[in-house]
Order: sequence, then C-alpha cells, then structure tokens
Amino acid sequence: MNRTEHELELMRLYLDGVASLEETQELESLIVKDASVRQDFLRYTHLDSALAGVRISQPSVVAPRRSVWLSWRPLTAAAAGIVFGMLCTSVVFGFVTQRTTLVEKVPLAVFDPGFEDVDHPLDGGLPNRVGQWGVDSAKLVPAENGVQPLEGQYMMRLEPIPHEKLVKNHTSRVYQLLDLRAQPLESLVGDFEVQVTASFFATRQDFNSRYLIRVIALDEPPETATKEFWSKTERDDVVSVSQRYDRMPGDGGWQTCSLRIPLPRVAKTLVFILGALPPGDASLQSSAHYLDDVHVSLLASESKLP
Amino acid sequence: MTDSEQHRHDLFLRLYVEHEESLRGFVRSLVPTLEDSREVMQDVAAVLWRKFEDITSMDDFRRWAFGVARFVSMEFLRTRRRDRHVFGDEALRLLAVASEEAEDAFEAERRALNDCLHKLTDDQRTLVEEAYKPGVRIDELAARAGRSAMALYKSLHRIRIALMNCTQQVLAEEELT
Repeated sequence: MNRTEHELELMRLYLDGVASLEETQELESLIVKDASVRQDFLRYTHLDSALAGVRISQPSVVAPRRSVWLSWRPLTAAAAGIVFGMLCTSVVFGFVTQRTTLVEKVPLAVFDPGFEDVDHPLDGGLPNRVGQWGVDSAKLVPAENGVQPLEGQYMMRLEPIPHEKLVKNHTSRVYQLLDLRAQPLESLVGDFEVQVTASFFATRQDFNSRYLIRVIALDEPPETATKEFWSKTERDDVVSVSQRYDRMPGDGGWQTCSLRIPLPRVAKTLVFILGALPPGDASLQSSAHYLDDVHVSLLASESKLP
Repeated sequence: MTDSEQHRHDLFLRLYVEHEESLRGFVRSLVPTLEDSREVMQDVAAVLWRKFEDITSMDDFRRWAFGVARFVSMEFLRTRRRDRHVFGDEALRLLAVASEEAEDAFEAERRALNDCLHKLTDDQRTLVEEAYKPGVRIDELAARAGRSAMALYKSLHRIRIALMNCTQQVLAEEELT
C-alpha cells in the first residue's frame, strides 16, 4: 500500500469520528479526485468492519477455556456495555445463537416465569425484594385480542407510556431480582455467563417494534442492592449490559430474544429488566406489547454437576 | 406466518446474509464511528426487509441493497451534519460506486484476514477483541489499560495498517500458487 502516513491518519481520524472540518474536507477532496485513495479508504473501512465481526464468530466467554477478557480484568469489574440493534426474528435469533458452544446450562429459579400467579400483586417499578415482579405500566391478562399466551393461561401486557407523560423513560418495563446466593453457583467452576430469554408479541405489526433486555449484576445482597439502584448501575464494579432488539415489520407471532452477560463470581444479586420501547418515530402511536415465558440460565464452561 | 410469507422471509434472509458483510463494510465507509455504522446497519436491514416485496428480480438484490444502504446512510448523515463533519454527496456517491465494483476484492481480503489475525501478537489480538466489542468506548478501555485514548486509537490504527498489508501479501501469494 503506497499511502502516506498523513493520508492514513486522515482516514483514521474520520472513521474514529474525531476529524476536524479541515481534515474531513482534505480527505474528501482526496477521495473525490484520486481513485486509489478511494480504493484504500474502502479497504480500510471494510477491514475495520470485518474486525467488528471477528469477535462474533469467536465467542470466548463460554468457550471451554478461560477468557482473555475475564482474566485480564478483575472479575468485579467485568464488562459494562450497551449493545443495540440485534434483529429479533426467530430465524435470525437461531442463526446467531448457533455460533456459540454451550458447555453446561443450569436453569435459575425465576419467580413466576410464565406470569400464571394472577393473585400475586405486582410492585410499581423496581421491586425491593426477591420473588416479585415489578412493572412500570403492565398487567397480567389471559388470552385477548387474538393473542394467546405463549406458555400457560396468562401473559404480561406491557402498556404503552404516552409521550406526553413526564417521565424520564418511556420504555414500558418489568423487573425482577434474583438472589444469586440461593442459586447453584457453588457447583460450577470456570467462567460463566447468565442468559436471559424472553418472548414478546407486538399488537401492531405494521411498523418496527423495539424491545429491551437489560441485566445488572451487583456484588451486594438483594436487601441493599435496590437502594439508589440506578446510580449503582453506572459504577465500574457493576456489570450492566443492555441490548435492544428490533422486530421487523411483518414479523408476526411471538419473538424470542436472548441476552448473555459474563457473570462475576462475586455477584450476589442479579436484576433483569425486560421492556418494550416506544416507536422510534415519535409521530407513531405507541401500542401494547405482550411478554411471556421468561427464562434465566447459567452457562458454564466447566461444571462439577453430575 | 403463511407458507408464502415464510418463503419470502427465508429468501430475504439468505440474500441478506450473503451480502451482509459487504453492506456493512460499505456503510462503515460512509458513516464515521463504528457504533453509528452499527446503528445504521440495523436501519438498513429493517428497510430492506420492509421494501423487499418491491424488488422484482432477485438478481438485482445486491445493487438494490447497496442503493438502500447508501440512502439510509445519507439520511443518517444529514441528521448528524450539525454535530459532526461528514462527507458531501459526491464523495458518498463515488464511494458507493467503488464499493460495489470492488465487492469481490473486499471479500477476498476478508478471507485473507483470518490468516493475518493469527500473525498478531497476543497483546495486539487482545486489544482488537476488546476494542471491537459492541458498546465499548475507547476512552474507558484506555483508562482500564492505563493508557491514553489517543495511544489506543493509534495502536489500533497501526494494527489495521499491518493487517491491510498482510492481506495484500496473502492474496499476492495466493495468486502465485
């Protein structure tokens, strides 16, 4: 490659989003005038894009070896990040998940995972104890409007939160806490992840629906974990991963979405949040969504379990 | 989903997966920052699916998909021009043409990349793995590694240049054998 250091540096600055106006204009001028610069710029961007995909085809956290990431960083300061935009059609979901080698899967006890306990009251917002669903704006319902629960007789209807409502977040969410000390973590060795899976149903299928799964792991017990909870999620020693899923218009039926995060061994409390985001286009009317069949599992690289 | 819808869905997925990497590379050339290009790619995928019934010949899928990707990227850039410096329409058009014309060459380079990644040192490979994880911020990664963000950006830049040179060499050697 015969590019000068300066030309390559201009490309880097632009692609890192830190180029000045003058630098952008200089690179643009080179790209317009010189086909070879254009070609090398595209080679650079295609390589950059390909590197982003390398990680996906080489999952390391559940692989039967200690992951570089978890050994490099203290376990209490594992990954905090936000992942946006996985497609959430059942076919694509299957395509993505088939890339990971699963060594051991242990289901964790989730309170009322199929929303069948209709006599149990729902907390408003984040629940402050284990064995409880909390909701922003939702209710348990039987089959209605032509929608059958995916599992059992009941499901959760996530009501839209109107744009006019003065709240910080218009995502209609449900929450639950798990006490990891009561889960079979001790029986596992090696690295492990936690996987949260939930199924959503959109009542409006003519436009894009967006769902959210967020998982937060804290190294304190549930009794104290929920105190000043949202500020804790910003701390470096708290694992917090959020993923958005886009359901394409026309994809009918229940859509299963799944999120995995590395779980530090010191974690005592797991909070998971499932939600339906308002439409990206504010001019569209929000509509209800249904949620059912929630599962949480531990995925381990090695196990002492029989 | 009816059989006909299922068939359409399967056909779309097959075509989309076939061209996804090329589209992703193309979008990356138009949109500064990896995170933004990821976001645009999601919009591209959604628009492709929504408009898929409009396409009359599957032989035209690639050209059509590149057109959609360019359109969606330009829409995104129009909203960002206020807060970030981006290319003008003529540069974007030329990049679109060049990207489509050289798609086979880029695919060959992606294949060669697998060989070249094995030639990186452990530290370089670790840096690439961590820096390219979705949602990772370079400044935060740098702070954890005890380095400046600029140093990390430059390290990644040097690795990319080395990989580009390596893929070129691998492909040249393939031609000779």
